[in-house]
Amino acid sequence: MKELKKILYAEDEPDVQTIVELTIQTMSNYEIKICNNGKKLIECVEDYNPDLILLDVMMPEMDGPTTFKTLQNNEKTKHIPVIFVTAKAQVHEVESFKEIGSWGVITKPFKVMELCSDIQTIWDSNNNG
Amino acid sequence: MAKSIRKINTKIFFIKTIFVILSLIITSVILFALYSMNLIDSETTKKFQFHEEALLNSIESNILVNKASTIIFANNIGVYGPQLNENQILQLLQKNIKANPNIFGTGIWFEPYKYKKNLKYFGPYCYYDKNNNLVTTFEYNTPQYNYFAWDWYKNAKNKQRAAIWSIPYYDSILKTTFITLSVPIYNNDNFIGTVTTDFTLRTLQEIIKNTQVSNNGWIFIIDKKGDYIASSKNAKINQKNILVEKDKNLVKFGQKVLNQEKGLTTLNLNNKKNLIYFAPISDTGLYLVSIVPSKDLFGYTIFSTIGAGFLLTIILFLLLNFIVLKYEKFNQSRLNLILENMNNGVIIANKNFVIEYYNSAINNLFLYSKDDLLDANLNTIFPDKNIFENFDNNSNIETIGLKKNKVNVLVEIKISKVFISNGNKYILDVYDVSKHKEVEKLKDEFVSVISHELRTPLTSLSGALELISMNTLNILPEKIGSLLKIATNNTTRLINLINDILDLEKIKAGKISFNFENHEVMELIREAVQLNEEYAKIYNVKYEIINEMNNILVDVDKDRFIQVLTNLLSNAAKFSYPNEIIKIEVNMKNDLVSVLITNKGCGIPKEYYSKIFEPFSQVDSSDNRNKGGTGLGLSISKSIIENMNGKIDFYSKLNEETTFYIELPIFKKETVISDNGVKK
Repeated sequence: MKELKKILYAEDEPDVQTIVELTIQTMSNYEIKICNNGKKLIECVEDYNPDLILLDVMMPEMDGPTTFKTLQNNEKTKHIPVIFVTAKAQVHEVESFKEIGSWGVITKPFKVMELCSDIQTIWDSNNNG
Repeated sequence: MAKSIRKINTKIFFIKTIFVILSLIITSVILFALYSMNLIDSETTKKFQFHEEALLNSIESNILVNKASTIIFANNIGVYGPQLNENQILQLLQKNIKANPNIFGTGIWFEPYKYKKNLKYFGPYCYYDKNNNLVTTFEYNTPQYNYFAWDWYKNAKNKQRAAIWSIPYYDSILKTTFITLSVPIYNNDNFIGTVTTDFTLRTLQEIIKNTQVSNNGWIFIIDKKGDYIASSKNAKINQKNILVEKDKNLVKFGQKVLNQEKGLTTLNLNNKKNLIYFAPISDTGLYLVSIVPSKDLFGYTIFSTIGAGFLLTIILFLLLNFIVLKYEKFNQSRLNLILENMNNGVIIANKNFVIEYYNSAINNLFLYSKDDLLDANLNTIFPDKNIFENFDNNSNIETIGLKKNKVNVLVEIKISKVFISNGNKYILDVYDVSKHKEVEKLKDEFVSVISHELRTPLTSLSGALELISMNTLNILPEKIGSLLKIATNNTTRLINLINDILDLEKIKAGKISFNFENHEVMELIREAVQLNEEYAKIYNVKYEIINEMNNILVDVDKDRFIQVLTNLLSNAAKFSYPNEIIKIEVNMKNDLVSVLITNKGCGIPKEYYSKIFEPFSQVDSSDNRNKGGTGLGLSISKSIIENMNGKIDFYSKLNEETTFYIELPIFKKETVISDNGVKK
């Protein structure tokens, strides 16, 4: 089973960026890089070559679902698993993210203590499955 | 107003009119029947008795023709002593007699001894013969006239204030039959004598004639033998006996009268029905009989009753018609006003869905001008034909309406099939829901945006607080530590609140899909209790499942059901007195299983009973802050349980205990399971 090491995260809110970065650094051994929006993520995804991508849904320039589609359309990036991190927590929205092929959804606001374990759980369950 | 409405109203009016006439006729008949059965008889009796009384009074007053003056001088004697001397009184009496040719003699007789000192005569008494010559007066000490020993005088003395009639007697001197009438005189209630008058039978005859009830009637007086003493019919007088009459009915009646009976009866004479009143005239041995043909009494009653009833019916009918007409007119104009000023569109269509009436709201909604749509098919404005083929009466249907300018409008229609006078009609209540839908959409968007916009800063806030707490809690000064805890707790509360609001909105809007599966109720309870055990410790309480009831299945969404149980269990803990046990009980009744959660605590005051499942309705809002919670839990629980076809409720004893319970239909109760777990 592949080990989760590098995470690439697109998030436009600087505060959330800081919190997630601090959380990952404090609570896990993952390495994380954060981009301000989907477009920026697309620019650096090939260079960074992450094991997992976290995508915010509502972002300027390029939103989460569009970014996801772009990644899927690129042969070099379509294998990288994606988890949406979203405040759009209504059931049908969560379902729709799963339907388009993401590995999972983490809803905001998340518990700092649980963020890393949630990511790991989704990672593990998809790798086993 | 369209024609059909007018038609309907005319028909209703017609029916009402017929109803009014019928009821009036029936009322008249009933009234008449009652009247002729009871009322007439009693009225007639009264009338008759009145006549008898009047007759006797009349006779008495006629005989004492100048009664007034007689009484006056009698009073003068009684009250003032002999203000008039006896000669003066005598002159007055003579004057009296002269004025009344039928009176043969009159006099005043005083109590003996009482007045003898003042009086020369027994009483001033005089007779006049037929030629009006004074015959006699009697002096006081004339022994053959010791009147005070005579019956008529004793009777007059003993009988309070009533005239005394003598029996007829023959006067050998005057050669005439007389009757004497004595009227007692009183002074301050003391009997002092009588005013006495003799008159002939002819006098009686004249009087009777003058006091007849009816021209066709007959009044007569007979004596003990049945001889006619007086009669209003001349022929009868002094000639015949009632017992030798040709008419057998009359003879039979005569016998009845002579048997001293008294009363009112009917008698057929010459094939005509008569009413007869008969009674003995007091102390005289004479009988008074008054006969009146029934038609004289009833004739006017029967026909005038019918006539009056008929007239009354017509008057009432006209009056009611007038009122009904006014009312209908008022109703119609009011109905018109209401219909034309409604926001909702109203259409009346016939059974073929052809429009017969519509109000101006329809014009406004579909942009047609007045009467454009009359006689058009409903399909003109509602293109979907299916809605009229299959619809539930009174149910709301959402459909597309087509405006005149071919623009669609979303409407809700309530179709009612009704029966109006000339057949089945459809009444359509049309409501423009496009705005409503727009608002609903806006609200959805708003909720979605709010949820996102609030959640994003909350993510940062709660994350930051948690990170600080995690790393620094132990090294921060105590006060800052507690402030940090307050900030963290309240952030959590805010997050819960937003989640609950969204939850409630979603459940109420039916946007949550329930994942129904069969679960054993006991297992769900155990799981929920386990999940909440840690929470209970905060309040120093413990959960205890007091009975087990295995193999009861319910069809529920497991997560949602546990959410409800968690809500009830945590509430029970929150509002329990410390160090108490919260009891969880499972009951089964018919096809329902209920889960009861009981805590000992301050309970719920009655005034909050109706609000307890309303959002934000914890009993005491200050308590709310102490206990935590969003105030939405029970509201959400109720919505969830109702979505599972169940019921949630409670009962409470103030300052003792409160029980919340859930009732759910049992999905399938498996039959007995043996000890080794194998189904039998």
